[in-house]
Amino acid sequence: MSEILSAAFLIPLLTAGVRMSVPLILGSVGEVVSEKTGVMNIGLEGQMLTAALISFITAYYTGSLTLGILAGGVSGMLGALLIAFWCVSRRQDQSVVGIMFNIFAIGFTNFLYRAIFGVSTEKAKVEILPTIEIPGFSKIPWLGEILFRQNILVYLALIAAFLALFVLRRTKFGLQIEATGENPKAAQASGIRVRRVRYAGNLFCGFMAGIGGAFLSCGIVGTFTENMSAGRGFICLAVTILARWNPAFAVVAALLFGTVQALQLRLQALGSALPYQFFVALPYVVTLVSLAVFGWNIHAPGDLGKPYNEESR
Amino acid sequence: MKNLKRILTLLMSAVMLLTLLAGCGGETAEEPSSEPSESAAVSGESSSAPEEEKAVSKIAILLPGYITDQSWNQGAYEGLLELEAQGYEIAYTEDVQAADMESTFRTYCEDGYDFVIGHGVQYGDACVRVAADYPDVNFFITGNPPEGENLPGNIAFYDYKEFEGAYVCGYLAALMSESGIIGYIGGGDNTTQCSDKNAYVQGAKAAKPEIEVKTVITGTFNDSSVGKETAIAMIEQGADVILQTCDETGLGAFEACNEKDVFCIGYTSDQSGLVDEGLCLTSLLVSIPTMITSQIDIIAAGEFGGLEQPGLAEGVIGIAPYSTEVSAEIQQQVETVKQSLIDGTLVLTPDYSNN
Repeated sequence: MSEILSAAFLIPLLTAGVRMSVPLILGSVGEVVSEKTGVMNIGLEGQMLTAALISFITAYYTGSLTLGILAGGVSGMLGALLIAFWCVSRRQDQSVVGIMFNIFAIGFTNFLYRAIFGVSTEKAKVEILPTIEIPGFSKIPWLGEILFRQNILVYLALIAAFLALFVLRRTKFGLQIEATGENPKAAQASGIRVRRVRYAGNLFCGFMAGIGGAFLSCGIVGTFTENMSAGRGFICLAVTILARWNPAFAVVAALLFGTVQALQLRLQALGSALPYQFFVALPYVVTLVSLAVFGWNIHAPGDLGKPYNEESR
Repeated sequence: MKNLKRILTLLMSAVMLLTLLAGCGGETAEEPSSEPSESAAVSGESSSAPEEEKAVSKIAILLPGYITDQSWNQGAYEGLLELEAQGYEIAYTEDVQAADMESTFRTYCEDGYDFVIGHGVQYGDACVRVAADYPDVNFFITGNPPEGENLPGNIAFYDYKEFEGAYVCGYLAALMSESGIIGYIGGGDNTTQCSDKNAYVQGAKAAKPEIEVKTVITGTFNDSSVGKETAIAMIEQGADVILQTCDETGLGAFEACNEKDVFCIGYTSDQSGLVDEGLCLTSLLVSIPTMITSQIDIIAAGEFGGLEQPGLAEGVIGIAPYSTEVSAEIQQQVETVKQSLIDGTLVLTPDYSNN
């Protein structure tokens, strides 16, 4: 067990933990903002999956990862637009619309991937995002290796979380978001355009989920594999609650999940008498336990999940 | 304005519905079988109803993953395409998980499919429950039968000895390893995967008793980024040859090996094209298409049912051509082991324990 506490084990573990939590950070920061406006974006998983494919296709044909990642973000936004249209404008049940979108995304991506690349033994690939060392910071012992020798999306995810926190806490628009999610009637009475704010929150969430999906295909694997988001969008929903709708906590909670995931793979590789199911379940158990421990006295946005009719007074 | 909205709503629902229908897997290819009659005409035989000769006409398969996984599912799909070319009507459903197994089997039976395949040992239980209700349908499971049950006669099980190939791969991996540490990445804990894992360890120990084998079961066949992280974790801990038997998850593992310049061993088909030249030492071949196509003749001969256990000797399991990195000497040693398994001078007993 002593080798687990060595730097040679811990540094790669935490580095991998950061890498594995990036899609979760991106997705859950987006979800926090969307849920703050009162719209639950259950279609996050589907947006992530669609974006993973769209960004891969774009990067493959243009040869530009930047364009690919942007295309991923835009495709996530389009998915969110669809959901916002149904949930905000048409006032449909948010869970039903979200689940429908997720099922749609699996079929859609499989279909599109096969239509373009076919079912062949050759696998189309792109170069993955390079590691960028932040000069100066990357020399810091431990922290430098863990945080400052990653690819660009890792930094962007952290910056986005910080920006979201700033906007929510320190700006007028943040206050409007808060009011819209807490009490849309009062918000409307004070001159806030509820629909517009909800659309904006949802679109931001879709964009973030899209970047998260692009991270999977263009940032890690370098190709698209079917259903590659593998439930990460749903984990984001749990992370959002665990983080109490606070972008900073969302980063922490996502890092926790990612690190435990990286840890369980390493513990399995080290060899152990415990059955593998124990390890595979570990990240989920930790999430559930932390929900139980930190989950008391949680206050969700007051109007979360409820459709709002602007015309009814 | 109201009207415009209504039209937009309808349009959007239509678009979603259409793409959903188009996107869903399990498309049936209903091409009229023109080939048999043509060949009959060419051979000059009487062309009276050649279809009657066929024991089965409609073939369906349940897959645990997607047909683009370069591996287990794609192999089955290729077998199915061969059959389609021979004039059979085919259908398949992808990603059939535990909750949907029985209902998918029943749907195909009700739709008149007379040869229904569950592609993987995990379909055994559901198939046994369904088979008794449809005595005229032939069922086929590409795995060993569930334990301690009274098995209906219309199911055939194909318990191919994939572990023989895994043993050879373990032997090769141990010889090629410089660090003395090798790795195995599996997807789940079904009997095929467990016996693969244990035979790989056994083979490695047979080549080098002091070798250390790291084994990880990812619990998923579809998560390529977890596959990559698993391989990275192993490489960090010193592993320098990795075998994966987990389909799409394994594609991620290959990406890690490619990035870190570490040897890897492929699964089901020759996967050497997925990594840089020479890195993929060999692949554990499972000739899935033949597995499926050969059953048609068996049904026609009236010998369908029961359990078959083919392996290296029967050619169902194989070892792909070695990469240029494998020296002639090592190739020789590995071939000797392979030959002794084929001759039967070395007999392996599968170990299904998962630890």
